[in-house]
Amino acid sequence: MTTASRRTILKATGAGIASLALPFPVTQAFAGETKKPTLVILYLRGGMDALNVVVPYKDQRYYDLRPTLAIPAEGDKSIIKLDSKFGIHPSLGALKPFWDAGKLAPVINVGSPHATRSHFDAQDFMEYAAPGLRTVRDGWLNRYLAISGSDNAATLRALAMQGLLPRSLRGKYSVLAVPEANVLRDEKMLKMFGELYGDGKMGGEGEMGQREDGVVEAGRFTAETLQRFKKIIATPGGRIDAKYPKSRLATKLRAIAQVIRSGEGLEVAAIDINGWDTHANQGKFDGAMPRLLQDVGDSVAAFMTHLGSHLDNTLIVTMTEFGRTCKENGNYGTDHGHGGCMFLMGGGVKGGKVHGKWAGLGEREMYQGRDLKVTTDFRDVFGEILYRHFRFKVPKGFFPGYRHSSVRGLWT
Amino acid sequence: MSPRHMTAIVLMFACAAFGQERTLTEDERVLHFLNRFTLGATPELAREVKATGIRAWLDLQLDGKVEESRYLIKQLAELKSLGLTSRQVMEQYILPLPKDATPKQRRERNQRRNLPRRELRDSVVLCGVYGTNQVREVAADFFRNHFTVAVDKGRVREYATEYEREVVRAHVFGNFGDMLHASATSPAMLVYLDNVVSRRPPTKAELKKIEMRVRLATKSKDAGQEAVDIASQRGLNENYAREILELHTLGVDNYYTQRDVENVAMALTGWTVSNDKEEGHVFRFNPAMHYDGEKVFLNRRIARNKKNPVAEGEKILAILTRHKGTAHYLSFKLCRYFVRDDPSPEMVERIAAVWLKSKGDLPTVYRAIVDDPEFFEARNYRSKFKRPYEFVVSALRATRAEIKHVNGIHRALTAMSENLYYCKDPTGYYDQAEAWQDPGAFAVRWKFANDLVQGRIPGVTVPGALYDGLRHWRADRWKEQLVRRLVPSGLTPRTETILDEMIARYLKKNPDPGVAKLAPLIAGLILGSPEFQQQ
Repeated sequence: MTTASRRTILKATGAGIASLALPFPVTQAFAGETKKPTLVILYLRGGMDALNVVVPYKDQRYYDLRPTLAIPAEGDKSIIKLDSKFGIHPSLGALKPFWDAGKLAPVINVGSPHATRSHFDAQDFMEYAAPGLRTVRDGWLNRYLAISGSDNAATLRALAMQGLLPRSLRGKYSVLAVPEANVLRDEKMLKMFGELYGDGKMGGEGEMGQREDGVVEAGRFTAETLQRFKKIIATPGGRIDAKYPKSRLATKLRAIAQVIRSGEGLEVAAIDINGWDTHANQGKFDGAMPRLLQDVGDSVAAFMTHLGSHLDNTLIVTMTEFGRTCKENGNYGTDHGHGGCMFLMGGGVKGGKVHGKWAGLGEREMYQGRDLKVTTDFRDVFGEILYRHFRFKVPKGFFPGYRHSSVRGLWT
Repeated sequence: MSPRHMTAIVLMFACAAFGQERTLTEDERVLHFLNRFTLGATPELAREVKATGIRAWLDLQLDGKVEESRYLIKQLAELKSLGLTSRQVMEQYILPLPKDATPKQRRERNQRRNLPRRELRDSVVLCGVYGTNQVREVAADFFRNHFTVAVDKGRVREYATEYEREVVRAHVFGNFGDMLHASATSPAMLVYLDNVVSRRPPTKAELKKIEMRVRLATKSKDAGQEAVDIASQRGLNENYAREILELHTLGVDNYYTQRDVENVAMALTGWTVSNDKEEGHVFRFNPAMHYDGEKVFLNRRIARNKKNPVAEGEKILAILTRHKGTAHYLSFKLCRYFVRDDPSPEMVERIAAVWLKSKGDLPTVYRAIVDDPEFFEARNYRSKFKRPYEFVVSALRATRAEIKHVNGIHRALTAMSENLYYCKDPTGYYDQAEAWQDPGAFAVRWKFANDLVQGRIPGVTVPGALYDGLRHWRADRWKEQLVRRLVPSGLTPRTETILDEMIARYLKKNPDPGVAKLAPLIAGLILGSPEFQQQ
């Protein structure tokens, strides 16, 4: 679908401001026919230890390198087998049914060609999709939003469920960062300040130069989109079979599911999940990392159930700035490494298969003799997401200095 | 709109029409200076600076002879841990926990343990709000972020108190090289950026010793081998070496390569924190961890100093202190902080020249920034978007808020993503609009502005004095009065008009509102206005 026709459809389905006046059932009726693709990004900050998430359980080297951290292949507490080579951490059990249904596609040995082991550099490079280029300051998803649609404030096209935007969503295109519930609940305050910033009015001439205009504009956009977001969240979404765990992540995902189900036209949603920098006491079955995995697995599983048929148009992607050392360190943890893994779930991905090329754990097979090698450039996955999921023809130069290629077999 | 603002706006349009930049009026110059060199201009300060003269007032501040506010001194006196060394904090606040501790004991112990960190974070807010030495507070804010450490990393929790006092505050009106050296030898920084664990790899003999020890203790050959595996992984940690070049001095990828990072890391091995019983929690050079051999840094040979290996690291610090890259990078950051998000390369060049000439004398550099022809350019006026700390502190200053406890303020700052001393990245909190001006984030500021004047920030009250005298005016003149008190540089006509409409509508419904009802609403709107987000 071309950009133009996308916009036409957008107008035809009344996804603009006017549609807000409609009672919700109408919008939902429309939504059934024009489900738009949505991408949900879960950024696991700190460098997730890929090797304990997708476990190469047939590789003795894995067990040799990790005397205290390795997850056994057999036994009471062991990995959940995916195929004859790989299994996932037992804390991710809730995702197994989605693997069986062909909805979960792990990509292994994925990462950046840049050698940095600095969190903030690696995250910046990934979220700007421009490894090593510090001049690029627009997030890759913001670039997508800016190029593919021009009507900035017309819809709730993208949001982040946190106080500030992740860098992937920063840039020219206005994207909403959804504040905490106590702010959302303060109806009177939001209305008052919405009016002060000119909610509902067209932007006028600013008197204080560019910056000031930017402030007024961002404030107005805040008021408008927050009101819209609140309306959606307040609308009863019908019976939900999904059992969300009690966690902040679950609450955020539930809200996103409601926005998707409302048919409001949400294209990109992002959530940061901190705490993956497990230098010490990382935990095998219990502890810091297993707890995080449990939350992600349970919350995402509930989210996918909640989405129902919308899961066909919703792609959930987990990513992290780098993997960790293959060998465990002297503190029952792992240090900054190189290659990592991603999970792609839902949408049109070809699940039930581990994607990406396994590079092995031999001395020479590892990156610099210590980390997982990168055999799939993360930009190739990003390119596939844009092209296959959004049907977006990625223009030349979108990934500065890089021509992405497809990841074979990742889509059905 | 006041006649003063009318004149300014007419002038602005007139100049725009002729395609030339207008110059700031005398009042605007004072306010611009205060916007950048204090944490919030008040009408009183504006009068004071106008009477003294901008440059003379700055000199008074930089000479450090301004009497500190009694109120602040009283407040700080209650924070008992502020004056302690790291060692004293450890002794007085980290109490041993009995093996069979009850949950209550555990809770009490943790509360006591967390006290110094809390008091430190409180002091940063209190000094910002009540300090009369405002230039010092602003400079401390800059360098606290430049040389950032985070209290959620190991012992930094206990070491940060000394760090703020002895590294940041002690040197903001001194020499940059001294501050760099102080940070490099501070327990907080050495822990925060992992230099405490950076060491040369163990020798074969040492590994053998470890193996024998473990084998004897466990009677297991495997355990011995495992201990060797773990020990042999220990080695160089480049974290601090990289950040000292990238963040603290030269700027990313300026002049140095990965090889320089490694060499700096090698030179700094052994710079660690003592864990002696007698002399713990102070800087100590540990020769057993030190990488022997020659180092090469920026193509210069750092000779092996067998007698005094710590001199190798000192030499590197000295090179960095004098380097033109450091002068340039720090000047750039200071101009970005004090002048505009994208300072002109010409101005950065001029300030860097002053930096080099003065050998990094910070007061000289601050003066040069104010004296630079670009500082007072009209396009810089209110062009900086306040960081959450700047926004919150300036709102508390403008309202003369009374702070009983700071918890509510910390919570608000956290909601705005600037939790003090908890910055996730060693970059410190960014000071450009780009990092903070996200849509959505505004709602959190509005909430704070409104909650503050409605008395809904726990521990904080806005005294009625803010509304003194309003009852002598008609309600439709209150706004004008409050603007004068809260945001001396005024509102734009756009905001004025909308605010007037909102008030008029309110008065139609409530023709005779009490000051206590309407005035706080107006004050909240002013604090949440676009104009108050700028400085």
